[in-house]
Amino acid sequence: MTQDLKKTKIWKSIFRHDFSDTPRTRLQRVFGNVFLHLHPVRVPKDAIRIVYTWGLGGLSFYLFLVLSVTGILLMFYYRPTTIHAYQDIKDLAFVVTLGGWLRNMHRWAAHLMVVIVILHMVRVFLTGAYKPPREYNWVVGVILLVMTLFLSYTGYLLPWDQLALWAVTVGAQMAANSPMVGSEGPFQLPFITPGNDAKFFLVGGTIISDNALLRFYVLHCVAVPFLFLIFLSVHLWRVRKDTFSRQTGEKVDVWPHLVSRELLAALLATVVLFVWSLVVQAPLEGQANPNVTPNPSKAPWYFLGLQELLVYFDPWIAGVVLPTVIIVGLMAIPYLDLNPKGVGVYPRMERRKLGPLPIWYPAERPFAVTVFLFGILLWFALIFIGYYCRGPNWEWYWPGASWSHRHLSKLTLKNLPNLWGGLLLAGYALQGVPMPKRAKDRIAGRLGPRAPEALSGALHIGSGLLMSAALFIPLLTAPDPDDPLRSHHATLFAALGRATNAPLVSACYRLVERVGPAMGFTLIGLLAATMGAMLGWLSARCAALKDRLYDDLGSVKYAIVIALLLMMLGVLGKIALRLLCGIKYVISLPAFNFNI
Amino acid sequence: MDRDLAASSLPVPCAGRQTGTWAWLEERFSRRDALLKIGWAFFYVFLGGWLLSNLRYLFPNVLYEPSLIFKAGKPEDYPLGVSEKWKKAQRAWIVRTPEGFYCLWARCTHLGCTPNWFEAEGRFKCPCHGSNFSVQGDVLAGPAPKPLWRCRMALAADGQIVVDKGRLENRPDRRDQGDFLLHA
Amino acid sequence: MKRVAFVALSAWLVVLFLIAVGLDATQEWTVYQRRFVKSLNRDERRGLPGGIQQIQVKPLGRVDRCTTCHVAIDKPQLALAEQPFTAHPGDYLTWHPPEQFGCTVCHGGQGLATQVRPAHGEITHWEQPLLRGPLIQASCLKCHGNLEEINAHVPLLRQGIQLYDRLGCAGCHTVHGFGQTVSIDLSDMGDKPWQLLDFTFVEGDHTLAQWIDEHFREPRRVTPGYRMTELPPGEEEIYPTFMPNFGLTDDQARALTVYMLSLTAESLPAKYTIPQTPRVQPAGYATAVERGRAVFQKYGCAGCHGEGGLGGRKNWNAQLGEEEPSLVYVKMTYDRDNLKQLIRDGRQPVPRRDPARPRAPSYMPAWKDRLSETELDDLVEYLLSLYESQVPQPAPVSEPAEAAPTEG
Repeated sequence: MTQDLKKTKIWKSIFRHDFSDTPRTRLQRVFGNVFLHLHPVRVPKDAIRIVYTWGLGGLSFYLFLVLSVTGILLMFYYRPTTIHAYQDIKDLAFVVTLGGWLRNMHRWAAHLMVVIVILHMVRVFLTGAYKPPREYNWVVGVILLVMTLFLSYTGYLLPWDQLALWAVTVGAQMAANSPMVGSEGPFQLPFITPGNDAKFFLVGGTIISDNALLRFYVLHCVAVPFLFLIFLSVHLWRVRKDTFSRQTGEKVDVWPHLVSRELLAALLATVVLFVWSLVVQAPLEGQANPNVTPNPSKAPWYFLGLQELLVYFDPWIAGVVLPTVIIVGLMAIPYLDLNPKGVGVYPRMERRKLGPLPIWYPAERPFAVTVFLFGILLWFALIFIGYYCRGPNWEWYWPGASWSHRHLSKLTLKNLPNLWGGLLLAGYALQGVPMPKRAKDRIAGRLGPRAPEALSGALHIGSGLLMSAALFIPLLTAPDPDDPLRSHHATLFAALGRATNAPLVSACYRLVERVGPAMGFTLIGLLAATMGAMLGWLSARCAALKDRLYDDLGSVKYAIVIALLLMMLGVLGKIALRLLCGIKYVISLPAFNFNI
Repeated sequence: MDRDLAASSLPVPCAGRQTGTWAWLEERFSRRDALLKIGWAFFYVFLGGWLLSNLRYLFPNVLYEPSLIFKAGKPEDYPLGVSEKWKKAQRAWIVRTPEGFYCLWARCTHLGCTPNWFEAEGRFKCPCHGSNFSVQGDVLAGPAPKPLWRCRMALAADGQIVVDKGRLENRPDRRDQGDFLLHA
Repeated sequence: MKRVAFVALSAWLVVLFLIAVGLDATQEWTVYQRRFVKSLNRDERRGLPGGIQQIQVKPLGRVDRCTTCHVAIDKPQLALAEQPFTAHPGDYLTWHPPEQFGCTVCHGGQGLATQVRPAHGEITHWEQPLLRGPLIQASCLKCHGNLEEINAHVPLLRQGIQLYDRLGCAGCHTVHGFGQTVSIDLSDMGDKPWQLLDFTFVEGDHTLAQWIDEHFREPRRVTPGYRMTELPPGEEEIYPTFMPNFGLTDDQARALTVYMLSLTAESLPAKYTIPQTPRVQPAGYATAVERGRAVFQKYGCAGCHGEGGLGGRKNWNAQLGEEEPSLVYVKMTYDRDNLKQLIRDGRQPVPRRDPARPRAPSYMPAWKDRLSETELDDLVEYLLSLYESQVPQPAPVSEPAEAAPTEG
């Protein structure tokens, strides 16, 4: 019977080969099928090992498919208008057969996809798979990551509940704060008003209402997936054209070796999603209400790092400039990293000693791997803080502490005087100055062989001391500009020293109270000098690395790399200044909305 | 094709007296080359214009939301102090002082929640993140980065106050003059 | 190895899918419906609708699926059955046909839901929980202006409104445009999202009704402000609520709570609402003093100065042992013009050292925009008469306000 069927013209017109397992049909299956044709016919055995790729790229693609299918099914019951949207989601949860389950799947698959895409990026970085000839594909990958996040953001509004409305309000507000094209941002143009600025463009009105919902719906369901598919095709096609990053091992047939792994990974992901969707319900809060803001209102977890940054910088810097720098910085990685080593293998970790501490040191790409992993960790640390350490009024609560609307922390936050803030930043920037080989040679020729090293040491320790001075002098002596109206204290030192949220300054303040001003200030001065010197010493230890980097990269690339690095560490430094010293902004120029 | 283009861009022998510019142009753009370039130029003009028009298309011209401009009645209807008359409908307070009127947009400058007016304390307080504002709209406490926005005001021909929430100002030197303070 | 994994994963998929389908097929409402059908005999079962039931009320924008489990609300023969199978008590459904009104417009709860707790709205993210017991009277005011005519059904609501007038709440609060602005506007008290309230000192459930109820009984326990010791050094004290403790009984507190819950901004279509029956206007008072007493009552002076001006309200802001002085002795301190001027301009609380700091919550507001000149004259006449009427007979007249007819 089956044999007869296979002899019909119809069967033959569809399937061009038979399905027996012969070397010939294995090849035919791949290149005779439009979907499998994305694969090469044969791949190196090591390139498809689970422990090499972890199947992350394939899983991202599979989750995109899951989201498309569940999304299309959800669309049958969803109307993107403010009067219907919330009710439709309730209906999905309560009266549509398997509707709640489907919505859970869609929600959790989206979360999982964000995780997997980020992990995929980390994997590609660690195995050096972005190095030539695959630079462009890394850039496409970053674009796909951004689109994944944007898809999540637009999808977040659609249930039209409080969670959605307020996360999107805060997100859209960032558009209004963008420079030039935002009506509340810096460098305002006279003809930009709330009626025609970037936020207006994004939400299709001055308030988040029907237009915004429809716009986000179209973006989420049609426009962005359309673009996503285009970039995805380029991405996959490029993988095929640029070949896999690992080329060792004998070649094996894609069918069945790779295809079977893909199938198993997809099955595993589906099982995980099924369990997740059965156990955890997708959140749905009260219907969106523009008059009531939930307290706290948090963005979805993958944007919490960004929301946490909003605490430390002016909205346009945290919400527009920093994300742009991060994205562009990620895209620039393959063009900045000229080190050809480490393609197709995970970094080889050597065990070394840093003083008494044993550390694992990525031998071939020490700088690249350390900086990238540090950046990822910093990002997730911010997410952790936003998710677990922030309560009502975005106040600090330790994880596990219960929230209370009665909690009243009364933050005391002060700006550093701009001049001192500028000095602090200048000292910080000086830490990034390299000493090129040519300069070294010239100095050595003129002043003796040990002079370059001494000069470099003096520069770093000097700038460290400068930073410490630029921080402590104003903290101890500057007057409090808020004094008559908003503060009882005449100086910053007294105001922050009595505050509950600046442990470092209040420790100094208590010290001065305890041992008297002369003794106290001397001690603090010594402490500050030690801190500055230690900072300088640390950067002096890294000076050799910096100089080598400069000689390898040339001035332009070095400047970009060091600017990105300093910015990343600077965010960390600013967080420390805020949490330890109660410093609101290091430089504050309200006329330009420039507050950092 | 390539060979054609290369052949046609060979220097053409000059006939008679021609200015240097003309010769240079002849040399730079041969006729076929020029046609191709002009063709592409037209195409890109169209493409750019079309993309720009699509961008413009996405800015709606009418909105189904409360108008940004509203008439707030006659000046003599307002006693001195903060009037909450328009807060529910227009999200704005009209404040009368001995100098004149100004209109505050009831939207916290931090992240856009709606503050409440507390007559007894003489403050606007935001329920979300605890920002407090004075009657003038200046920040007294909390995370708000800048004062409350004031809206442009004018007197219409029928003697009513017209408030435009699309035109905002909060700089202390600008907001007390011109369009943002309506003299009583 | 791969084949084993394949079998295991596929098997898992089947199991999980079956669980999902099984859970969907055995939701709570199906259990109730099956129990109900089982309790009937064969004849009664015939023609019984199955599946999810819903009442759509287009004009109200409501879809109520309560009848999915409450299957017998329109079957009077089941009046004695247990919940959820009992019939709706009383004749209410004849006056309010379910297809016109639905359920949740009166009862609260989440009509869209088909599980018990979400449907009763007793979950974190639903603003209108089921109005249990007498609290449901709060819903009647949404439509009924003619409270006198349905008096028997809304005793608590009526009592609440009367208490609101008698205690003089309007002296500080505004409801639908009438009242003072010393404290918050109560016009949408029933819509207040409970998530924004502070439940630290509330002993009962975290619901709006419970918060209001406890706040009526002991205002300063529920909103005690912050003492200096609780605040960072240098911060000024944050005062407790000024709301006086009126010493309400349980019944009175509940009555007022019902009234508060009935104050919503929800506006129903005109065809649902019944206008207020015109009240019989008092034929006019014989004397200025009587008119003045009515003014005193109407504008809520009693809220702070006590019923009949006898004092007795605790005032956190008055520096006289927290006691608001009674008005009995105004005659000794003020002449007619001084008193009028004081009422016109009010008395702002003492300015703080720092003008930008918050003032204490209570003060005598200015009345010049609210009282007409004749009302003011009458009021002053009444206040000056208090000395004669009260002092010679030291025993305070019991509830003099009851005698004064109320207006508006």
